[in-house]
Amino acid sequence: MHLALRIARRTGVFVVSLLGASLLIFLLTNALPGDVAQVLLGTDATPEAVAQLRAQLGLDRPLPVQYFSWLGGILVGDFGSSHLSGLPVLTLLAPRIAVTLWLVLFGMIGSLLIAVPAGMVAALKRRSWPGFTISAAAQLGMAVPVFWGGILLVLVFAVWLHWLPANGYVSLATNPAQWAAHLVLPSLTLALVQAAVLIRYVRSAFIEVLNEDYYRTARSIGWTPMRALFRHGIRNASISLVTVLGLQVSTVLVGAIVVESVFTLPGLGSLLLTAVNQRDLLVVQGTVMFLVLAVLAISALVDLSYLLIDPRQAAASEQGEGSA
Amino acid sequence: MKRAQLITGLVLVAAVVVTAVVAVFWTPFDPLRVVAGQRLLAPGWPHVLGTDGFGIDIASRLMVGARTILLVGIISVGVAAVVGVPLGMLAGQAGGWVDEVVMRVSDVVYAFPALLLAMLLAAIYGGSTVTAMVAIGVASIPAFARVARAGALQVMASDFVLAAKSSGTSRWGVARRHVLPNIAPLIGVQASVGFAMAILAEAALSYLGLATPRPNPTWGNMLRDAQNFLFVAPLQALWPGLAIALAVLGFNLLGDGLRDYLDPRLREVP
Amino acid sequence: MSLLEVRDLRVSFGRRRVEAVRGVDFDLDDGQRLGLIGESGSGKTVTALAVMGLLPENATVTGSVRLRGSEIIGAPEAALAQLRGDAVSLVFQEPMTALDPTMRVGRQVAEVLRLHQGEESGPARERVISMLAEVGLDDPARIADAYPHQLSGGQRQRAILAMALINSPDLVVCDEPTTALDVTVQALVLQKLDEVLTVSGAACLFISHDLAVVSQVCDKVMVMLDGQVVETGTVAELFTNPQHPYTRGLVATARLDQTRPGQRLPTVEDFYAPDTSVGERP
Repeated sequence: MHLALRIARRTGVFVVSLLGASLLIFLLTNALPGDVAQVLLGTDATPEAVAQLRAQLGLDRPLPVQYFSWLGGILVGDFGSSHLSGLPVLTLLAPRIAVTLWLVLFGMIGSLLIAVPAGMVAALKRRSWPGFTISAAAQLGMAVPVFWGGILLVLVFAVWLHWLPANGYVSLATNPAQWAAHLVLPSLTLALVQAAVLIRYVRSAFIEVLNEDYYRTARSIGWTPMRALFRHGIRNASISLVTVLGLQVSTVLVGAIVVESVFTLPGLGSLLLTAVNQRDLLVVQGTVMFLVLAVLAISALVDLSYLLIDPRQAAASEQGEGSA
Repeated sequence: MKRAQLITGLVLVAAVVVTAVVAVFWTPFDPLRVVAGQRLLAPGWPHVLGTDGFGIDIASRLMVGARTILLVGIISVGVAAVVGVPLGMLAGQAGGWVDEVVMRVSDVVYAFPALLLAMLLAAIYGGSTVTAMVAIGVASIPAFARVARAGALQVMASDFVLAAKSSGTSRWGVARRHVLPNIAPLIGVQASVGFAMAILAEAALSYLGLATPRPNPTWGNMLRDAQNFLFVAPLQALWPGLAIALAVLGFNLLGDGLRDYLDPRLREVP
Repeated sequence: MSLLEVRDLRVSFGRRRVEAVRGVDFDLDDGQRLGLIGESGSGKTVTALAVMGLLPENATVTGSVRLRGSEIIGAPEAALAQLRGDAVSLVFQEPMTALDPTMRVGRQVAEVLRLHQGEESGPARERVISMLAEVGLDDPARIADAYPHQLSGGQRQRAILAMALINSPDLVVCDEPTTALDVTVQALVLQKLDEVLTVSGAACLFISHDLAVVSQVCDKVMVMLDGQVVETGTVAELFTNPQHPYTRGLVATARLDQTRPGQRLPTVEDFYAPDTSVGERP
């Protein structure tokens, strides 16, 4: 039952990382010089008001007690509440999760749609101009800050061509066409920047396939290089692709937060940003915890998905290998 | 081809450094003083890149921005290296549970993007150059630790270390005399790549308003300003972004080039 | 017109033009079995790849290779891809890595039919299973549904054999197909190869370093040394009257069982010392 063991082990790593991250977030917020209550009330608050808030929020308790109390809250879904509005963090997050999710989803799909074909061509033509050009373009793409990329796209498609809106958001339920229009540029921005990073890995994964015997077999039965690579390369290369995607989760999240700011999308990122500017510390703490939780969970899921893609992984967990 | 990479990187990096150094002493115009009646001029003479919404010369602001970028890069990479390298060496040399603990903690921090760390710090202290530097520095520690650890493991397995250990050299001596010199090139490469990442991170943070506050110019907040005038003066949005891209490209190419130059075996992705 | 006509085939690699094949000529008729013997580096694999048009980009090929009159050398990739898997198929040495690990075996064997006959997976499956049975695999249905890592080397190689023959090619090129297998499995696979070749009537270019192995499948043999053919003849001729010293060495080592107990086993070097002044091998 090695499979169950491996799932358990990965889940264990997830839990430990989560605890570690929560500790880090808690310490940053509460253990650094700077009083939480003071920050929340602002610099011209009276000492009495500060003291009262401290007692109210339980900040006079010993740190470990505070930590476990906060952690306990998270386990039941209480990520804290806003000092300004009184609303629980999750309530504030709920309507915005969808926006960020759409953005990340389309961004990732877009990046794969760009990077996989480009990487294939870069691998097949690696000794000639198309290959060099694609690699150079990817190198350049990695150096471009995501927000500048967004601004440039706005310049071209909104300012110059007037094809798409420069910012704002319409929900799917309200108007699907508008919803799509408002998501095109942000998703494209994210997709392009991500694709630049992915192309390198896709290229090297496909180059590895080109050196494999099963690629040669595919050629020998009559597939042209491109089709042989496509048929047999994608599944075998997807293993390393999934690895990279797993490593990129937090980068994509950061990219999404920034893109939301460029295009004024009402997602998780803009909530976080507003809370930071308003010094709504508890909301920041809760949201960051939520985001880190999401990142770690996705990484764990990605790791576990190996077992689906590679039949050898699942088999290695069975008793012994193959039959004579 | 590889040499071209290294040289291009060096040229770009040198351009940034020179600009930053010059900006300490001189800029064509005052980067902070608002000038009425000069707003949003197109590129020309004497304002080679035009002026922004406050009438300030963009080229001068770009130069000062180079200064900030360099400062942030040096401090954050410095912090990350000074903390991360000894930790990584310790993990690689000691092994066992020390290694386990260091790597687990490092993984937790690694899952934390600099942006989120910076946001936490900014919520408490207000965004500034310092919070940005600290956040980026701390977030970069795991990368340096990882590289140092991998290098240390390699060195520890080599024959001359075994010889040194059997001749009685202390652990500290081994570290200083054998591990450190051998992993130095690796650290150098990581420093260059880390610098590129720091530039991108700082740019994003200052774009979001979480780093150097206005009116001090950084390439990131210049882009934010430019975005407000996108329909009126689109060219303004070009220069700071280009500067960032070229600087990042420079450090990336430098890092890749150094990696290929120092040890072809270390090349990860051809 | 023969099935395969090779004239003055020369192959070199890289910028320094390291020569692997230095002027090879031979003909192969329909149904004929031709063995190509040589040690590693003699150019035999390169010759096989040249026949299929599968040489790497850095290879320079001159001469002529005609398959049923169509020139292979310099032909466009699309035309060559049509011939491969249809008129000519190839069986390689390493069964362990020749199959895509993420695809079921039956599906890979069916690919040839899908590509050249346009058959969909459903009807092709029957043919795949019967072909797998023909190459001597027990429980062919199970094998068809299995993944490569679930099969042994011998099973994999026979599946590859099935893949090479299922579309009734005119020519099958085998490059050391049994070298990586256990001795007992070797004999079995060779026997099956002989059987299916006879049944299908396909010609075979069989490449090996082992004369004993080649003699089980082929009638005629070419001996290759340093990129050139040094001797040609039927198996019987070679065994009874080898001309070239290298051939004599091969014959001697093919008959190790004839060494008297207590005597030293013969090696090829006893008969032919390799010329060390020859250039590098690619």
